[in-house]
Amino acid sequence: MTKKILIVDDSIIARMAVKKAIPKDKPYELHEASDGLEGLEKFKTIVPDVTFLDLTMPVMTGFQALEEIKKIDKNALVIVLTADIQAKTMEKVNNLGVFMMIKKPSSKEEIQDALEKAIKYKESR
Amino acid sequence: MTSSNDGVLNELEKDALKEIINIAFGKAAASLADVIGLYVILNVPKIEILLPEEVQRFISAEIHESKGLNIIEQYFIGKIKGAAFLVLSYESSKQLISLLPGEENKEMFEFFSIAMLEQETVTEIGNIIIGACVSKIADFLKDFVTYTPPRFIGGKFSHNDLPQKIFDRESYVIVLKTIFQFENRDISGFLFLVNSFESINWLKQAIKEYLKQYGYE
Repeated sequence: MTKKILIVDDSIIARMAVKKAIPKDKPYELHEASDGLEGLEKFKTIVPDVTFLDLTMPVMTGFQALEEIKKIDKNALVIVLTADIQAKTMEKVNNLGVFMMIKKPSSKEEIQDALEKAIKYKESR
Repeated sequence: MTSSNDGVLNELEKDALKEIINIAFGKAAASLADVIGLYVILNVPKIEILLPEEVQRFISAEIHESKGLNIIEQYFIGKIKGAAFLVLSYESSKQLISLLPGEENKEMFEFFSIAMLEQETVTEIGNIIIGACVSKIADFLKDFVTYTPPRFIGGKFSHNDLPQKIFDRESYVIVLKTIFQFENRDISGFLFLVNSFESINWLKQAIKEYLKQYGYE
């Protein structure tokens, strides 16, 4: 069954890095948004299985978007991809119920591993 | 402000550079949080490529500061050579000192005058920000740079007193603007990286290589 992936990042390069890491041999449907607000709107309409979310973005930050996403679906699987490596940031996103946090720059393997774990977790629920 | 040098990097190249700077600022914020002990909220960095003669006008438009500017200067030497200048308004510099934890402040006041303490704080913060950004760009260029010690050359500086190196006609200037928010206090800083025109070719080539891995030719 096709899984929907939403990638929210203001950087085209960062979105491309995630897209490149997603295995082509599996049925994934990819969607993109370039800021938190667009990401939130797409989350509502697409209802993705997994969301990759940056934190430092214009219009609406990733923190705000994550908070809103969790209000819509507290079980939403969100993988945060961020350059903000402060301990308090990790604590904040963990408290908001993020599935996993990956530090930028991230490798293809890290992205694949996080996605695989998220999908497995979803299927086991 | 639109720069006549805007065409030096295209939008995709600027996006790649912005992402690298975003990562660098993340590293700088983590170091600052360690040093100051306060949480730093990161904002999206803004990148501009300016001609040397445009720098003064840019700063005047962006920093509305009647009391002057403080500048931290640091040179870097590698395949890519240049100078980095962190420009803070006088008020922002004063705010930085008030962010230091109380106990630490108390101890330091016993050894330094307020002016000295302010200078030490701003210089150290400048060193962290410049180091994080330049090192990340050097990593990206597969280069290794060494640094001269940071130098505080501010103190009631005006827009007209910026280091002459910024205005070298053989240079281009990458301006990275960001706002570091420290626990509800906005402190704006501008980082200017001044490089020779030769370096831009290095930068463009490295960005081209970087973009190839994502399928951009």
